Amino acid sequence: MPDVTMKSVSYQSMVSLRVARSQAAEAIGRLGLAKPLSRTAEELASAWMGPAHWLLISNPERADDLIRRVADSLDGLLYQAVSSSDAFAVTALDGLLSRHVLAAGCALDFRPDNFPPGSCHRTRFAQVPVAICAQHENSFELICERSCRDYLASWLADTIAQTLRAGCNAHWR
Amino acid sequence: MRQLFRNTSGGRINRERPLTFSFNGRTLQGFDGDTLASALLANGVRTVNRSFKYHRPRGILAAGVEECNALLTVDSGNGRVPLVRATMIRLCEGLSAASPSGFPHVRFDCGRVFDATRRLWPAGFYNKMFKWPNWHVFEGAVRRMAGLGRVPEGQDAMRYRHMNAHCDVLVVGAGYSGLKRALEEARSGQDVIVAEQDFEPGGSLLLEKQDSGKAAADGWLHAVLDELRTYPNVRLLLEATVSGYYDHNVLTVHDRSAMSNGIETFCKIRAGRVVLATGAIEQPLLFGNNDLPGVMLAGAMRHYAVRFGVRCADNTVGVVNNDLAWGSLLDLHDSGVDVVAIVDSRGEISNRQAAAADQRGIPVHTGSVAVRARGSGAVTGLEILDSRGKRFGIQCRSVAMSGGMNPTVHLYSQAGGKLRYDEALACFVPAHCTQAVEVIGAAAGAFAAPDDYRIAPRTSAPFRSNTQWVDFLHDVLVSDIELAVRENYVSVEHMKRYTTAGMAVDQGKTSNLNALSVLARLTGQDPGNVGTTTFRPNFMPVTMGAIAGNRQGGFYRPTRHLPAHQWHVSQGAAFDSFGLWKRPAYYGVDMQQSIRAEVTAVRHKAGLFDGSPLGKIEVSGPDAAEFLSRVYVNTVATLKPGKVRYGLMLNENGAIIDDGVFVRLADDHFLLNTTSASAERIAAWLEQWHQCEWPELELIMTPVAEQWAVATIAGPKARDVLSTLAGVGDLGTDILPHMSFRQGRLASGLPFRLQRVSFTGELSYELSIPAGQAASCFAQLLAEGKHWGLQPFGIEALDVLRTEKGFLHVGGDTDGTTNPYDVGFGRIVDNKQGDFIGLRSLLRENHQKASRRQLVGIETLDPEAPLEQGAHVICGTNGQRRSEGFVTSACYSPTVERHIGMALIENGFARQGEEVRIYNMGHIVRARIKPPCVYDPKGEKMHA
Repeated sequence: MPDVTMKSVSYQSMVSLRVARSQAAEAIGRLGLAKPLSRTAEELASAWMGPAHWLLISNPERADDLIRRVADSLDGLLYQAVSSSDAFAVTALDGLLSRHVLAAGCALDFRPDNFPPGSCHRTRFAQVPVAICAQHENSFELICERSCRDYLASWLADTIAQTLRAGCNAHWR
Repeated sequence: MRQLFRNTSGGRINRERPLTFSFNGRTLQGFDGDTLASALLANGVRTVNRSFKYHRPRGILAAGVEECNALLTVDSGNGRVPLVRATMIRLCEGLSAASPSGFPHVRFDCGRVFDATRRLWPAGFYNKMFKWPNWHVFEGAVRRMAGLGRVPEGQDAMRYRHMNAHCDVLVVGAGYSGLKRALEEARSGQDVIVAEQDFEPGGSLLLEKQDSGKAAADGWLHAVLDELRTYPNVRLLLEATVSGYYDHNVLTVHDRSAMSNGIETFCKIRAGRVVLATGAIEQPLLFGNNDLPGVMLAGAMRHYAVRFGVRCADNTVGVVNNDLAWGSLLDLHDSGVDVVAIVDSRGEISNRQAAAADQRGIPVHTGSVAVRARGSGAVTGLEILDSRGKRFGIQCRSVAMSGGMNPTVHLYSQAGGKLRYDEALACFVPAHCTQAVEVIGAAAGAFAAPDDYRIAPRTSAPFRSNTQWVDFLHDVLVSDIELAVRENYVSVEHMKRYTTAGMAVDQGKTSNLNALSVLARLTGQDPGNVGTTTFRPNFMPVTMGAIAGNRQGGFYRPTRHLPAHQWHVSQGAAFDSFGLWKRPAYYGVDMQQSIRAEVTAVRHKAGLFDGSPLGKIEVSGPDAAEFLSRVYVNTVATLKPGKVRYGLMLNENGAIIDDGVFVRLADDHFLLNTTSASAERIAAWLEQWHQCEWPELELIMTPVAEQWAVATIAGPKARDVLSTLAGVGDLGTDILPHMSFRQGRLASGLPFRLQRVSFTGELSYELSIPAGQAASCFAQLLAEGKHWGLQPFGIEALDVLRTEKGFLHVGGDTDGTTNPYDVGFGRIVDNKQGDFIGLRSLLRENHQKASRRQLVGIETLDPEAPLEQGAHVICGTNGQRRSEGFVTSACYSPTVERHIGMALIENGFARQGEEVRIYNMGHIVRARIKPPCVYDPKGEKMHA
């Protein structure tokens, strides 16, 4: 397996869910939403995007069905659930050197202990807003706005090439 | 190609791997493991450069970061790089180096005339020239001659990348102290990064000569490195110079380890704790001609002898004032450099030292000092003043000097650390710092066991002070400091700036301490009271490219692509940048021709425009209407669901910041459109007002711009074109009039949002569909619409269309001061019930003055005369001319077949029909003030 690979990922549906701040705890309880700085892989997968803000991710379900399910669960709360399936592009980064590639783009601490699987951080990565989720030990997903997808893909491809050129190895050297 | 000054054995070089390189065109040979400096010395190269100001010949002085003469222009295969320290670059095959100065040649330089006449050019001579006679007399010549090399031109072959790293402990320096500490930290489970500027770890351990000392040092080094390698939590960076130390323990590292692969790395490290094991730098002594090639630091000569098996000269005289230097001299002697005498300024030396010298037959002169070095191009002898006041000369080919050690405290000082002068060590040592930093080893002043380091005070030789160099790189003499003091620049900061001592690219690594000592002596102070100047990043010069990283070319700033980008490419779009977006400016090859064709198509048939970057924000909640009422100038409450209204946003100063339509989807649910350029800014602006000012309002908002692509279909045939989409519904004007909205699903199942609004003045629909379907939807519309003459149009045509209509372009027709009154929206303000952002400012007298610049239309009297955006409307006669406004939009209108525009002109509303003069591209153009709208002023077309 190469030291690092990247590929585009598509999900059936993504839904941006925002809840009134005062009712966020209640919503977390009802839907089992992700805790701050994390992403869950439960039946209703959710990535924390900010205070009282999540991205719901589903493969089999359609966005409309997902929104309906949210509506059923959050009845009585003030929330907004909008389909974002087309708004975001997801890129997977895999391999031993993936943490190097990520560390080239932003200042987050990607040491395995500090960025374990299940982490999800939003940050400015390679000058564009990105959410970075750790899926497994050396596999990550980057969620960016659709319009930045081409730019980010070429940035990642270039950084992967330069990372290999710089002779990085799994121990960061 | 024989290396005449290379010992036949010894050193940490690989003699099996000879390397060929060139210096000033000469082909030379060195070995793998050499630095450029050691290879030059092995080949007997003495003069490597010319000095900055007086063009004196200079040789290699040192062996490490402190080198201030051998700053060469080096090409390692990826282009010429100026200012490379020969002591810090590892020799590689094919490397070519050149002296940056010397005309015609570094060995014979006409600039030497400045040396012969150097009394005329003392410190600050150019400052004085500012006063008299005139700096510009010399400016041209000085600018041509000054500098330390040429900036390379053309594309840089080297690649650069940025990195970020985090660790519990950052150890700077992989010498004995650094490695020992790194191992301790690693054993206790800490995440450790060790950064070492050399390509070989070990520091002074590499300088143990060939005997039991070397075996012990090597054994320890190998054991430690082997153990460190077993820890996954340790990263050892070689050829990585920590260049800056900033707040919060952020340090920058310039990593050159992969230069042979054509890439440099600039890394920001965030460390929990920092341990500085940066060692100490040997200081020069002050005597006449102490800058001659052949005068070197004693420790450096030992470095070359022991580590590289290179004799810097066949013989040498040691001139020292401290114990550590004795070790260097004895090692040097044992490595084949004949030490013909040792001159020690101290009155007494230890019995051990006396015995060691005696055993080797080296004469020792205690209580003696060097007066001056003899020779013109290189050292031929040394003049000495002994303790009885007798002067005598010794023949020698080099001088090994040592003025004692000075801790490398640059990073500590950058961190905000304060220094303290240590009398016993005669140098500055770290005192205290608020950051989590610790200084260990020689960097903390622990050069040797406490009793093993005695040093005599630093003085300058009893000889002409205008031959004693303090700062080699900036050519500052003892006499320059004397001049500074005579002219009352007695503060250390003033002296530094007046003489420029310590201000060169080496940051005074070998000059600060001597300059301070001289200043202290001249002002009768303690060196500790004189104080030090501030060290600033970078510790060593960092390649500009490394600081830029990969942020160049296509990565200089991000690019945003439209959802149907590829489709536009296939339609022959000419793209232009609008903010970060790449958008079709027009379709075709000839810009003017395309724009006219596109405008004509929209006016007579139909056009298709990609409006996807339009900002779209959904706002919902019981207080949504109230919130919008506060952020828009316009009335919100009366808007019925399914209806669209134009909205204007102001900032607190009453200035227009954005406009766009908003839709009431339901009583408590709105969809806001912002301008494309401000989509992100307005989303943040609204969040800020909600979160910080009105958190009590119950509402939620989500920017959805990226989710929806927008196809704008405009023109008399727009309805026919759009009707071809099955499921879009009845488009009759009575069902879907101008400024109304509908959403649903197309027959294909695709959700859509449709608003009938117009920025072109024609019948126009904005169709939103999920971004992923944009390309197919555009293709389908164009295929079906061909029948009606539909053709795509770009931003340029849109700008013409809206200028013909006199529609406002926020940011183009407004600046940071334009308010709603200025653009003719005063009635909206006056009719508004309740408060909104900017209202209070609008009530100020100044905001309502008739003399303000107001947005009006203009047309040139000569229909063929073009106008440029930004051209000023001027009034008054010659000498009294003044601007009374400027053109904000201008274009050729194919519809009315003349040049038209809009302008912000003082009191413009009241001046309709008046003739004005516009200073346009160097000429006066006559124009008339008109209403902004020149096409269908009644709006019948868009209501059709």
